Amino acid sequence: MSGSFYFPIVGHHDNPGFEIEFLPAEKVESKHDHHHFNQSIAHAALGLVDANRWLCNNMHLKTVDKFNEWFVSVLATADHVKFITLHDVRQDHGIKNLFSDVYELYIKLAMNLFYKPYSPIGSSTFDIKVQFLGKKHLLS
Amino acid sequence: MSVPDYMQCAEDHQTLLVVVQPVGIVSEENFFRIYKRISSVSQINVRDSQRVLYIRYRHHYPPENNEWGDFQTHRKVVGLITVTDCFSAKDWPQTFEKFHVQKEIYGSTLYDSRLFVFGLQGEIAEQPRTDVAFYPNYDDCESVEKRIEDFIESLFIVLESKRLDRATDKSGDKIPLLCVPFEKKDFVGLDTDSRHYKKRCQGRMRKHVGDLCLQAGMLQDSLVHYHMSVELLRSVNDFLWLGAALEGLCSASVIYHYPGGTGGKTGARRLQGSSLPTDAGNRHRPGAQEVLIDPGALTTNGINADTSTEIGRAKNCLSPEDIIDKYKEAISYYSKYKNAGVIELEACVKAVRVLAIQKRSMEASEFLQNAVYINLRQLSEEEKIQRYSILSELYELIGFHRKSAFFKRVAAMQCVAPSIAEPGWRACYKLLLETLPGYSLSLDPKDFNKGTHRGWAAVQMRLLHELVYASRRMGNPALSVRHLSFLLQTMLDFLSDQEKKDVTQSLESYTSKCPGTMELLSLPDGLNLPPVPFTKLPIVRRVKLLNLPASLRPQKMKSLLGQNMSTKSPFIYSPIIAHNRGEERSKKIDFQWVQGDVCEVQLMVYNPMPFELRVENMGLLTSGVEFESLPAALSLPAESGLYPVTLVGVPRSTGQITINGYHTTVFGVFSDCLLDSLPGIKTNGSTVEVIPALPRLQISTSLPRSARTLQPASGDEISTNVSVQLYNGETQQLDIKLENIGTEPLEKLEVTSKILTTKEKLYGDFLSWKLEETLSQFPLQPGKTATFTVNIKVKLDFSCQENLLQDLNDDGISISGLPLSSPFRQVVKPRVESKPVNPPESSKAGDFSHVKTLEAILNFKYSGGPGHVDGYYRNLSLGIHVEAEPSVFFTRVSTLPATSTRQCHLLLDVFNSTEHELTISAKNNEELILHAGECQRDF
Repeated sequence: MSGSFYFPIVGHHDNPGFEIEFLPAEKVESKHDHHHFNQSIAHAALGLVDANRWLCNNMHLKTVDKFNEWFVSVLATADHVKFITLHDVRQDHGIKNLFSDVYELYIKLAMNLFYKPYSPIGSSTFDIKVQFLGKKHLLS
Repeated sequence: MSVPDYMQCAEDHQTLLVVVQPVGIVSEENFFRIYKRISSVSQINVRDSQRVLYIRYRHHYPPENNEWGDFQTHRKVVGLITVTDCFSAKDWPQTFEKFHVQKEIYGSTLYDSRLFVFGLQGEIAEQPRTDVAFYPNYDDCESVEKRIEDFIESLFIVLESKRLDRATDKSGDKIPLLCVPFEKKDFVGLDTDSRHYKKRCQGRMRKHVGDLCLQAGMLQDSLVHYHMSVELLRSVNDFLWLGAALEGLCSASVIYHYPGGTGGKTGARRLQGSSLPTDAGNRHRPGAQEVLIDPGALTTNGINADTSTEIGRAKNCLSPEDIIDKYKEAISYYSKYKNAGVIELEACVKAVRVLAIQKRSMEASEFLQNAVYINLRQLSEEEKIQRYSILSELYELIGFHRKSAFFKRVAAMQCVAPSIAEPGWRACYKLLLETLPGYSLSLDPKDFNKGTHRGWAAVQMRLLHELVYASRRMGNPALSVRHLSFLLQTMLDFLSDQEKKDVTQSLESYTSKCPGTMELLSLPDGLNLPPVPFTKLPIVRRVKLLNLPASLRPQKMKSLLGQNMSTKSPFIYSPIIAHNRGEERSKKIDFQWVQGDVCEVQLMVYNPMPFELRVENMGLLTSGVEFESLPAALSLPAESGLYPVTLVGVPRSTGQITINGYHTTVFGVFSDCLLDSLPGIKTNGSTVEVIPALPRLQISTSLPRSARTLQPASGDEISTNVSVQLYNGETQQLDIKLENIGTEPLEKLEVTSKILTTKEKLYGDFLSWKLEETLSQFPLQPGKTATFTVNIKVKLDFSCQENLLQDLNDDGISISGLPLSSPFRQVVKPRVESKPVNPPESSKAGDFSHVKTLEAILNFKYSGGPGHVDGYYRNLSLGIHVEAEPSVFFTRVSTLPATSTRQCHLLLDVFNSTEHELTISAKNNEELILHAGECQRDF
């Protein structure tokens, strides 16, 4: 349970464009039900994200919400795309690094003419790179 | 205290709590009728003074909460009204006894009580009593409100006396220590003479007096008392009571700042009384005036003139920002005490309501965040549901709809938690429905047609699945079918292949018991579930109305007046008009359908599912004309490409028919899909004129049918083709059988012929007929036949062919004595000529094929029945293909000098290429009989 992360990228209409889970090595299989739970919490936090982003000068909004043992940390980009991390352990530094690295990746993707902004991200390269970054910053 | 009142708001601090309860057996309906009337008296202007009393009515109040009445006086039950039925005087003593028992429950705190007796008449009822009111029945009790007003006034008198009493107490030596229930044992054996203790008593009493002042409508005084109390209690670190004093201060300030109220429903009530802040100021000023006669207040705050209240208010009343700070402080003090959980929780709720009015949602969410984690004790499931629901409501209040939906969903799940013996699926379903807007979902599939999908699809799907399950457990299969159809229709793009299979399987199993309909489903609470047509199963890309086959196409008779010309303009052509027409045409189609004839609409569909899709009962939805749709069933292969489907139907009356859409049955769900609501559909228009019925003519001929179809230039299609082979000069009779296979009598027939452009020179009439004989059989009733005879006569000039001319040229040479070219060569040449024209025929015809083709079209214009009256006719074409072969060949032409130099003999070698004997007659010469395949020389 502890040390797992759920990382969606959410577009304008609350629609996730990308979802990934980072789980500790010993816990390979994520329960299906658990996944839904994560999504619900992340969805519920979106209202707070919207309220927070006008109060904070930084893109990185830190932890905006918590539910039971779950914390919701958010990076909201200038065009209102939200990078969310749902985590059950405090790991602010790792999350911050992950956000900034993924943001760079996302910018590159967004500049691709063939990517329609805010649409689901289907690029496997993006997926692999985020996976790698997640392992690097969160699980190591 | 263990039961939190989540509905509390800051202004409840100024109310007096009155419990209204039934005693004995009183029907719920009657009780709540009375309760409603009683609770309508919620604010009273006290006689002689302009102070206002507010009353809070409860029909249920846990007595253990009453024990906290000293801590916050609005928690104290000060009035009791009991309602009872009593029909005979004999029951009276017993009833009265029950009233007393009821009084005992709240006895320690009650100021006054009343008993309302319904049904009792006679002696007892006549006695005037203050505490008991008798009414003959529930309909006849006009004076209830008046009674309540009197009752409240009596409460006020007690309150006022207590307030004055307590307010003067503080100057005395002994001030009793007020305490909350759980503190009592802590103070046993405490030194009551210490300064610390006295200060504590003083502080608490001040706070209490503040509460009483607030209740008695003296806002200014209460503020002063609270301020003093805060100072006193802060100095002795009496945190619980300090919190209460701070909260009291907040409440009084909130009441001052927001006279409209903070608690939604009650706010509306108060608005009636006094809504404007200026009004509120006036309202409190009289209260402050009474400060003059209050000796306690006089000595403590020195307010002694009406004008000074302005200054006093500015000083004492908290600013909106301060209110929140003080609430925060109070809550932090409460949180030090485990037993004050309820107080803390309620304070959080009150603060959130205030923040909601101030529109400071971020801070409000912090309060709520805190409230979520206040552990009261082991909550019962019902309390958990209540708690989550109220959290959801508060989040909604501060504008966090998604958070609100989340908690509501948690509450819904709590309703059916496995630990509950009797799961409340109905409640769960109701709560789930309320969460829909928070998840950007609506129950109308139309909302999903516009643009991009809104919301988190995975979460939405989960919610819809929960709705399906809850409605199924509720025992309402129609609802589950509707929700599941909705899920399939709107979330199709997000479902994985496996999920698509699962969803359709469960849908099929549901619909086997309860088929899906197109009816609006109404829930008991007034919510309507609109029907869900499966416009994506299959997806329709194009709708095309098809014209009738050429032979059945109706045509308008050209009238002399030229009706076909546009009557709108005197010009034959104008670009403006043409443009307008174009627009019209985009909606209306320029062909007609005929009443009683099968009409077709072609749909291009495809199946988005990863398995075979069976569509049953697929037919057209039309309007304007009575239309008999002939439904079709089809089966589309998995993830098919565009697939043409033709839907047919028969218009039964005339007029404008509009194709509105189509209906299907897929997975047991009936759907009416309207074209207007389909996104990205291509159509060539949807309105067609249906003209009155016309007869239908079928022709059959004596000649064999031809596989070859003629390609007439005009674009007319030819329904039947016949072909015949004739020798030059031969005449053939073609019998045509005309059969009326329609339902209308065939009244008119016109026959015309058209010979297709040919280079050949024709002698005489190719086709000739006598119509009169046929017309004599008219009108032709349905099912009847008539015959019509056409003579085909072929008379062609084969001599003018190029090769023969060439021969003649040769012969010109031969006149001078050169040998004639061999017949073989002559025969070969035309074969080469004819090849590109008719290669298959020429190869078949053998060696002597000088085949020429003649093609003609026989047009039958016919009409009858109501269509005829309207000036329509039908055109049926018969293609006639005639292959003409020459009957004789002049294989050699030569000249011989005759006896006279002026003349010469023309020698013709004539070859009979037919299989028959033939006679050649030349001009005033003898006849020559030529047998089949024979060649003779003729002079």
